[in-house]
Amino acid sequence: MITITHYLVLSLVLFTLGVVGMVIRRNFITLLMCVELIINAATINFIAFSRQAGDVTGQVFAVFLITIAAAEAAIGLGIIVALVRLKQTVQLDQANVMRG
Amino acid sequence: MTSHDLLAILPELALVLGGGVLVLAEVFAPSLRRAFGPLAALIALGAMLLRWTVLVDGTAFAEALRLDELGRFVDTYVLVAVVLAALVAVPYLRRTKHEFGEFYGLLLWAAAGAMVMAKTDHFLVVFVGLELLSIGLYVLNAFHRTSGISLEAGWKYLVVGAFAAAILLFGIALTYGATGTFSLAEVAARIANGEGLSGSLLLAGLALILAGFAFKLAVVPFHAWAPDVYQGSPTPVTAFLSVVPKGAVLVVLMRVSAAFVPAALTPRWLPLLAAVAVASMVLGNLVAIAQRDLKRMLAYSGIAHMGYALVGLVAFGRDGLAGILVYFAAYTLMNIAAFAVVAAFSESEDEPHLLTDLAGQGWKRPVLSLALSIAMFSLAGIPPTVGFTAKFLVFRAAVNEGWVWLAVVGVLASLVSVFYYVRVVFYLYMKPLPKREPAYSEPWSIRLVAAGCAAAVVALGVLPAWLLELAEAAAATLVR
Repeated sequence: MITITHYLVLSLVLFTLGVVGMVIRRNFITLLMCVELIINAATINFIAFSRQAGDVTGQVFAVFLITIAAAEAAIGLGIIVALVRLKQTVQLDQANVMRG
Repeated sequence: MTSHDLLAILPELALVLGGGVLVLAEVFAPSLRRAFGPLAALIALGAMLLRWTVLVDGTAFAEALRLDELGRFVDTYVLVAVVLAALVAVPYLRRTKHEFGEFYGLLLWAAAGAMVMAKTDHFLVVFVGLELLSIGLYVLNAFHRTSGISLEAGWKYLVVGAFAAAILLFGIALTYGATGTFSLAEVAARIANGEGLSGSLLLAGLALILAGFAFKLAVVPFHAWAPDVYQGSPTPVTAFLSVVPKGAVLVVLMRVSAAFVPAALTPRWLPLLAAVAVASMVLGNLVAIAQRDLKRMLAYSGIAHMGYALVGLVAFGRDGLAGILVYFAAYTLMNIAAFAVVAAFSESEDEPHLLTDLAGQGWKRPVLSLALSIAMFSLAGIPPTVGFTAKFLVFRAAVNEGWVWLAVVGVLASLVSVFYYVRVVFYLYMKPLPKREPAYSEPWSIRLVAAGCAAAVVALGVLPAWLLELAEAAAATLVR
């Protein structure tokens, strides 16, 4: 029997992987994938909670999320293309001249 | 969807359709480019007119949108920022050879996102509005795609923004799990019925929501992106970015706080906000002193200013919220005045906008210099400017609600800030002109924006009653 706890643990694992990846990786495309991991972790939560509560709004939210995540990834890839044209790299350390 | 719903979002529709027209005009009528900027400003003015003439009350779209005074106040302020940013952008984009319709289209779409955020208490709609705003801004930041630092600002804002949005989502998911609803109104109703909401799931959810919004507000400890993005983005975009997303996010935070504050979690929520406010005020002002680049200095000053605004949120109550709203209005005017002048006082976009480039310009360029000086005095909170009024209202609300130490920290922090704001004025009027003077451009629209904002800063500082009344009416929709 798969309970809500299983879903929560799975999403927590995905969330942690995403956050750790955001912190340690320096490749732009990998960073976008990590963001996608965190968003998918949230999506799993939405659907699991929605099933548990018997309320479909959570699933509607998931559909919206998939669309918005795609739009965000598209913009990200567009910026990568411009970056590669200018600097011939997707490694962010080499595209980082301003340092706070 | 009924006609009532459509009437309710008429201004947003005008912005979205107007943005679409501008983007298409870029393709089909590129010879009309000179008219795009003024047209965008006119569309925003038209939307503002619609907001104040077509008054629809209550809720729309099955209670997803809440049409109240608060939303109207924030819409006005967002649209004013759009008009000013578009006017600054016209000569700026022409000079940098990036005058394209997409710029203005994205500006209008982003503004529509901020306006949607400002008038909803449903987390799904908050998120959609936030993404509409952010996705527009990602492109606008990187709009100079042949410039290294503009692209750098673009990717930095995108990585941080997408990360923040993902964190926010996870927080929303946990809050949904704990309460079973996305609607803040429903949460508030349940608390009013005596249902004590608590539990670690809800607490974790709210903490993640706060973290996600803190990224967007650029408050400590989620501020590290701000200086680089401010410096790298095209200056009109920086002006827009420094006021509109922050205002929209603060309103959502106000609505979230209004729904959850009566619950059992208040003793944890408010100290958390207070800690963020103190850290932002102290760190923002101290690091700003060390900056030599005007845009970076304004970035750190922005971090500190969001700290002051959060003091109002900690104080809560009608006075605190009205204080935040006055703060928005003040911050918009003084910040855009400052950035408009920065847009004129810069030679090349890739070079830093050095403080020393201002040396001796005071008497040579009287309009811009006076506007910049007034903006600096107002940012420092020196009377009789609206910056002083705003700070006074926020700190007074904090003292009245028993947060005396917070107000004291705020006053001390703003005393520190006087140093680096007045230093700008010192460079303008007290330093000699350098031998090799940098080239400046001083087009009329930038002069108009800078002078208009500076005049408004002083006028609202001398006669704040009108603004205060509007802000109090808006705050009263959340707290009686």
